[in-house]
Amino acid sequence: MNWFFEIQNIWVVPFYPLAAFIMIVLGRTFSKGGPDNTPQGLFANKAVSSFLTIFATFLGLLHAVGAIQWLLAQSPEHLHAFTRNVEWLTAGNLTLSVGYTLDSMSVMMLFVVTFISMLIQIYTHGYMEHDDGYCKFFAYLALFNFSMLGLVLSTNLFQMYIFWELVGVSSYLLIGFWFKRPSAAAAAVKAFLMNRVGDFGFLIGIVGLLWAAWPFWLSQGVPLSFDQLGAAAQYIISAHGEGVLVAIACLLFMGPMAKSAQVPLHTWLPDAMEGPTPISALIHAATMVAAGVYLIGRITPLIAVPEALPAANFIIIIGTLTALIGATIALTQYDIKKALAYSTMSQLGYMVCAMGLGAAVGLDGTALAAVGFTAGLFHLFTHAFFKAMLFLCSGSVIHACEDEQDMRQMGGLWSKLPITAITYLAGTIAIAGLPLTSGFFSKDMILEGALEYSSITYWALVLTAGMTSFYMFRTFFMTFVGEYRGKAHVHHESPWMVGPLAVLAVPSLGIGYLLSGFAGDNLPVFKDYIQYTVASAHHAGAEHGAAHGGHTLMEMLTGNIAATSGMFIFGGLLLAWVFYGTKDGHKWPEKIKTACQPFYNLFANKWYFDDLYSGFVQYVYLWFANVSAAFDFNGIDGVVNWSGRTVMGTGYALKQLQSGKVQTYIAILFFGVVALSLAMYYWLL
Amino acid sequence: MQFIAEHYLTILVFLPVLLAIGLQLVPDTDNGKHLHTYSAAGAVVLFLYSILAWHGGWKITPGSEVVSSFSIPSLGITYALGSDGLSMTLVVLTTVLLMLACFASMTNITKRLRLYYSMIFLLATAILGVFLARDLFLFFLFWELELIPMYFLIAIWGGPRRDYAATKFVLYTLFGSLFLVAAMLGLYFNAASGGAPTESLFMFDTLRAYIPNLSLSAQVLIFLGFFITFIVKLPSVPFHTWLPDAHVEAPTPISMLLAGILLKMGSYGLLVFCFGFLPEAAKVLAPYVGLLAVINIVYTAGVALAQKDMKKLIAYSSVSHMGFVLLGLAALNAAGFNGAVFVMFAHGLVSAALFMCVGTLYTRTHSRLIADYGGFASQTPGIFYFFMFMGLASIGLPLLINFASETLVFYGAFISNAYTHINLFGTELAWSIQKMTVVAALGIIIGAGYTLWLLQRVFFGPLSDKWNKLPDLSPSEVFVLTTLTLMVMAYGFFPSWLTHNFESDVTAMTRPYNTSTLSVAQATQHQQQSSTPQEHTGR
Repeated sequence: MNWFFEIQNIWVVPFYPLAAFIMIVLGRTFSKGGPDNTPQGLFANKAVSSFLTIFATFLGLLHAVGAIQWLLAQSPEHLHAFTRNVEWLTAGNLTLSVGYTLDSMSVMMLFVVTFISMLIQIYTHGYMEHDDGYCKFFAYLALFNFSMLGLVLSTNLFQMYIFWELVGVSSYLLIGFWFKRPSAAAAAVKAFLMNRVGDFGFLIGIVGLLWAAWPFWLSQGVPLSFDQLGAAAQYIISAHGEGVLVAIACLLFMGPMAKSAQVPLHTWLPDAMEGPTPISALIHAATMVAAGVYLIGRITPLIAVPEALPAANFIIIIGTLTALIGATIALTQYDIKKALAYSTMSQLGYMVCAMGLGAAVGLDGTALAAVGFTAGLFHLFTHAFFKAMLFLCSGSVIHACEDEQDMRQMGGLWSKLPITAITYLAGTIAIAGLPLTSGFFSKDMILEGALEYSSITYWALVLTAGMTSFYMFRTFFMTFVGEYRGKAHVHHESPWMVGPLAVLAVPSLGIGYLLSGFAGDNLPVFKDYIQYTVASAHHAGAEHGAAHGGHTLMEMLTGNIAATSGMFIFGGLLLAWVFYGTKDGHKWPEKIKTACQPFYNLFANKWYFDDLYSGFVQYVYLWFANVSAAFDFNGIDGVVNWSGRTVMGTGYALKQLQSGKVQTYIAILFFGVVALSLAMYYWLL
Repeated sequence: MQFIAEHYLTILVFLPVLLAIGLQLVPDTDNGKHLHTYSAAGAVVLFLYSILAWHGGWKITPGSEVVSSFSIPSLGITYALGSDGLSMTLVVLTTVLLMLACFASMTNITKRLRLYYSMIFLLATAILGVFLARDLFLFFLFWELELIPMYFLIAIWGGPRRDYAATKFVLYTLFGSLFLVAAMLGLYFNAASGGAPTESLFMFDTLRAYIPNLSLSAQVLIFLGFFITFIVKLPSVPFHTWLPDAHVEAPTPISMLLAGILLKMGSYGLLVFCFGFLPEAAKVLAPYVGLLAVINIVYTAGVALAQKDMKKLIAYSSVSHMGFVLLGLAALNAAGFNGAVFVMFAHGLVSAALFMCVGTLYTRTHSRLIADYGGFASQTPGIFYFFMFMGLASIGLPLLINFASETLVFYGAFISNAYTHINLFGTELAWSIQKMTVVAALGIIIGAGYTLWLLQRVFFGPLSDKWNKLPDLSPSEVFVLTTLTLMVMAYGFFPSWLTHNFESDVTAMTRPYNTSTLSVAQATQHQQQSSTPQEHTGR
């Protein structure tokens, strides 16, 4: 079948939600006039708002499915990318373009974003049904979808930056959705500012890339376009040396550091849980935070050269640290959403680390961990499903428990919220990486890459996997098993909310297996379509691929990596069950807490990052502002007012001379003559 | 029709004066309702006429043209008006904002309306004259004329400290004008050595022809004279402290005009005189302009963060944004210059809208102190949406107008090869324009900081009991803010709708600077030869 028409018009996908956004906003604006000036009329109607948004996403999903068909119709050996650009802004010889590109990566993201968005929007209907801001919420959701889809289809770094900022703003608006709560307002501002710090680096990286390869870009059609990054890297190396390339790569990576909540720019993500739970699921777990990983995938050609190995190392180190730190903090959390947030952070660390592994090319030109690129994006893909589902489950629990988020006030919810409990369990075993679940396949692939690269990274990630299993089952046992400890009356599950949960449970458990290549010859294999081979190391990559292709599922399950990580994962599960699933297990965590007091304090205080930053804001940022303002007021304006006063004072003094009294004039004349005579006498004679 | 076609620029400049004369015949009844209506209608007519003059089929050739002449040849003074893409862009910005200011006056101004609107129209003539003059002396006349209405507009309709603010404004500008006079005298007495004709000595075309013949030191001195005049108006550190006071005391519509148009007179002057006529001096002084830009962006952003008064905060943010104009100019290339012009336009719209938003809050609460507010998002949602939108536009949200302009400035500054070193107090420092731009980019963090913090303190959180049942936006306020919003969105989404008006004219101004850039052909050659690093970096 010829998919050309569909592919050529894929640009329309982001514009569906944009149109929905505009219609809702205009509809609300032009339909004032009810009692208390509340919006009335068609577009202010709740059903219309949600329908427009969900329908727009559904249309996008149809396009995404078409794009998948287009992709699968191609043979994996010869994948085509479809790219179109239009000029957006021209000044002299600088031309900035926007456009849309369709390749395996963007098709994958397109599907993830539209599919999960749609389910979450349906869920939102149940969750926000009684909220005053229902229509506004759907408008923001549509705005977010526009930004995210635009980001996915970007053809160049400049366009990526546009949508990068736009998703940031959607996130800001949605975190601060319940703006009457001061904590929500503060969290929104914090998220925006922290992302701005990352964007600062990202922007400098982009303009640095433009500057360093300027003559090269002049000879190209579209400056900063993704498909030219490899050539640009070669140009920069020959023109400026490798230091500049490494610096540019690290600066660009600052964008993902903030957006994907990597250490040390991660502290906004847990605070972002102030937003309504559907937002936590959609933006702060499944899609937006994964944009950083996607960006690293896009700029991999720039990093995957031997000269840029330090940049790849940097990415791997940051990713590993994030995975570890996020997991350790998650161990100590009692707020169910906060625990999930730190878990997201930890998993994002996994992905970023994998992307770094994929870009790590040794000085001899051979890939150090070729599987990393595929693994990172595969983990992004599977994580999006189960993490979105886990968050939605937590939302269902919070909704049922009348906005209670503390797990110490829960327990025994299994019987009252059966579907939520089952789906939460499915998400938990998937994220923990129990064999044959989605998380297992993607995590295994990452560990495989890490083992090729360095044993320290490998063991750090294995340890993280163990901790992940422990704290995830901890949240499950604390919430759903045992006796109910809370005071709130538990409501029933809303069908609008459990429906999407049930749908998401299927890919959460099964999509990893289906796309792993073991599920049968008719199914596509993820790693055939999404991979990055280092150009200068074809033979090494090919060899590696052949060796890897020889696995059977049984070999994989009993292999070294699966066995090692499996031990940690089951160990974590067992510990969680003993501590939180059995009747008198509770004494153990308390004992460990007192035994390892310094560590517990470190983890429970989130490694003191927040204290450090608030100190920085208090003592450096505001200090700078106050000193500047004082200097402006007393220094600069002081001089201005002083000169004004001096002129006035002089005028006033001189005015006294012009008194009109002859006696005064004669006296001045007399003393003047005397003074002049004396002066002449002393100095001139 | 023939008469209009020949003198359309003269008509454009003096149409406001005619409107002011007509205003004297309008009866002052019904609480000044007729005066308000007449003035708003007049401003709409002026706006439509300016659009017609721009697009209406009347001949517009780039560069200057003497539309009408009554000159004083013995002194070398000519009455010359002319238009190009740059001038007309700013003219339309002026007429749009003037129209919106008149609408905003309906709710903000209640006393001495006849005098008020007369002053507004007089101000319009002065500003339009500044943008359309094609003779330096005529430019100077309009430049000084602008002071008179502005002084009265602040001194009569201003706040409690209006006398101080108005006097400060006038003295500051006069201080700057001193240097303009000095620069003009410098040109006058050096003209002979440059081989200039004595007639029409100050015409832009003549200036452009003979200035390159002057000695470099003379050019640098003349550049400095112009420069000081215009950075007082811009304003730039250290000559900026008149602006916060003027803004705080001025009534809302005047604040809109002040931020939206008057500051653009300074940046227009910088671009046309300093960087257009004196390229050799600009090349020498670009490092210092760049340094000043960085100081403006970062330092005043810091000052803004510490402000407790909303209007002062936005005034300082204006100064900070004007730093982007300086940075774009210091880049000495097409992207930078176009970016500077774009920033002028973008800032004109967004800062005017922000002052309007503050004004709407002020008319309801009579307080500008941020500490008095909180939780207003639920109290006055209309104001909240517009304020939030404009605040986000101001911090460079993509697809809104400021983003495109700041992008051009940053990108232009980074690909520029204006300078690699700066000599400070006898020491040669390796501060290239790229390094300075990195520091300037910190402004995007601090800028987001003070803007979002302002929004948070004013609109978020619980509502205090002090403010109960405040009315939301009135229709005229909605009209003003909606118009600005639509423009901010349209030019943000399609920046080329705006840039195509001035791009070729402004790019032509960079021709004297283009000698040192690598051409495309050279670049491809470099690439093929895979040359050594020194050849590329050694600019």
